[in-house]
This record gives sequence, structure tokens and C-alpha cells, in this order.
Amino acid sequence: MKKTILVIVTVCLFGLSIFISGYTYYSKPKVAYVSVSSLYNEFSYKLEMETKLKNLQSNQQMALDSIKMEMKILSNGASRVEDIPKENLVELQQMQQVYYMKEKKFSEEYNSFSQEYNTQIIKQLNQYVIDYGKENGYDYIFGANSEGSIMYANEGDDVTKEVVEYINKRYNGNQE
Amino acid sequence: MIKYCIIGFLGVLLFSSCEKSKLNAKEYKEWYSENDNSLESEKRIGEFIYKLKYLPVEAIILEAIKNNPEVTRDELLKIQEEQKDIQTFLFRIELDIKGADPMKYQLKDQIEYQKRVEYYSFIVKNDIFLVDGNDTLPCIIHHFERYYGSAPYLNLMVGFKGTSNCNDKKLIYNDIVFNNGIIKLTINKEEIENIPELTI
Repeated sequence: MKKTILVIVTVCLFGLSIFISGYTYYSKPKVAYVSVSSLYNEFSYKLEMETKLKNLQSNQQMALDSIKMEMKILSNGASRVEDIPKENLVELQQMQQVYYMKEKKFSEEYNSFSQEYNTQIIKQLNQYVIDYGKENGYDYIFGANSEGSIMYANEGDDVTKEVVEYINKRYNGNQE
Repeated sequence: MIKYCIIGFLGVLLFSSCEKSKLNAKEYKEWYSENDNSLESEKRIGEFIYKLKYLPVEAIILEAIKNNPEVTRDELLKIQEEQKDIQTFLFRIELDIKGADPMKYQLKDQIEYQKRVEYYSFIVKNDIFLVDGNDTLPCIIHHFERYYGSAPYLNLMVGFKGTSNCNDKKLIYNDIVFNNGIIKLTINKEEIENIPELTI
């Protein structure tokens, strides 16, 4: 009789321990973190836009260089204003103004595009991280950055690599 | 001899991989209503959902039959002939806000509204491309369906040249209106290969 009671109690305790550990495991929020800078820097869209901006900058530089070259020809290689042929002086001054105006316009254009692209990159990046979290059942995905939002985290919770892979796949429109 | 057998076998394999089953109009309609989801792809960016649907020539023919049950076989063959060199897609930009009209989303004034109408009516095709295998095809035809605020989305029928069906179809759209950037949506080649043929 005693033996039976002991067996029943043992089985109950065993069952209870399984229930408690299961409950603790499943009620714990699923948490991970990503390195924000890695995510941003390895995002295909960011890399594409970076190339686009570089091309824009090099085209702008070429346009400025050609004006510079024309100015050099007009100044006849003179290093002082007095040495410049008088007939070229007015034209040179006009060209100088054009140069400064274009330089300013290009700089504004570059900044505007850069800002626009950055907004697009952040919008898409945020969306894909949300999608990743939902698809993989995460309650929280923290962003670790240099400003110290996460001071320490277990490396096992770092999903940066998986998220980078996921966001690039999503950006490229690949279906599961 | 063995060499020819291998070439023959590979040829048959290649042919059979692109061969389609043949259905009549009724069977096709049933197949299409059950499987049209597989020809779709979508992506959400913030409050916007971008949806792409591949429209096989057969679906366009079925639509013609639906609109005019009296349509003759010759007329259907003519539609088929006209459409055979065009790949058609339905591209939808949907705003996930109840009762909202994407055309009026964050609108500054009426001038901006007119600019949007003009953009979607005439210019948008310059921002849409289709990557079909190794080719990037420009949009050669597009139609903007106007809903005048009665739908939370805007529909664009877009067409590209080419008939090769054994490739993934990736649509690339640069959303400059809502500043969501480059949107890429893919329809897998397996889904396109599975589309049956319609016997007229």
C-alpha cells in the first residue's frame, strides 16, 4: 500500500515538474538582438543606394572638373590675377560664378538624394525586421548599437546573421 | 549512339518540363479560381502593401468570354494572337488604413493630387521593369484604373515584351510617390510552368 502511494506521489511530482518547466519555458518571452550597424551596412538596398550615390557624386565631379579645366585654359596657366589676359578676365569671373553655383546645387542635390534614400532604407529595414520577428515567433528583437541600448547579451541570442540573410532575401523579392 | 540517346532524353526532359496540360474554358475557370493565389506575390512596407499578380493570356481570354458570352472563336484566337508576345501583370498598391485612398495619402494640396494622377496615368511605366531570366525588360504598356477614392488601392495593369515562361518573373518598381523606394516582387517559374493551356 505504502509502495503504491510512493509511486503515485513520485509520478505526480514528476508530472508537476514537467508542467512547471514547460510553463516557465513557454511563458518566457522569446527574445533576440541584432547589431543595428551590421544590419544597416549589410542590407543590399543600402549597398545599391550607396553605389547610386557614388555614381551621382562622380558625375557631378566630372561636370565640375570640366568647368575647372576651361577656367585653367582661360587663365592661360597664370597663378596671379594680373597675369591673366584681360580679354579673358570677364569670362573667367563668370565661369567662376557658374562653378560655385553648380557646386552648391550639386551638394544640395546629393544631400537631398542621400536623405531620401536613407528614409527608404530605414522604412524597408524596419519592415523586414518586423516580418522576421513575426515569422519566427519573437516577442522582442532588440537593436544593439554603439549608443549602449544593450550593454550585454548572450551571444546565443544574437540573430544578426539570420536577419541580414532574411532582409536581403525579402528585399530581393524572393519567395519562400 | 549513346550520345544521341542522352541528347534525345535531355530534349524530352526539357520539353516535358515546359509542357502544359490542356483544359477547356470551364475546366480552366475552375483551375484558375483555385490556383490564382499561386500566381501572386506581395510585400508590405509600412502602411502600404504591394501586390503582384501574373495574368496568363488564358485569364485575359476568359475575361473576354465573361464580358461577352457571345464572343466567337475567331475573336478569341485574335486576342490570343495579340497577347502572345506580351506578359501581363496586375500590380496593386494598397493602403492598409481603413477607408483611406492612396491617391490622397499625405497629400499637400490639389496640385499634388493632379500630379499623382498624371504620374500614374502616363509616367509610372518608366519606373517599372521586369527581370525575366537574364533580361531586364521595360514596361511597354500600362493602364491605370481609376477608382476616384472608392477603393483603398490603385491598380496598374502592366505589360512587358517576351514569351519565355520558364523563368522567375521579378517586377522592380521604384516608388517615388510614397517614398518607399525600390520594391521587388517575384513570381516563381514553377508556378508559371504549372499554368495549363486553354483550348479554344
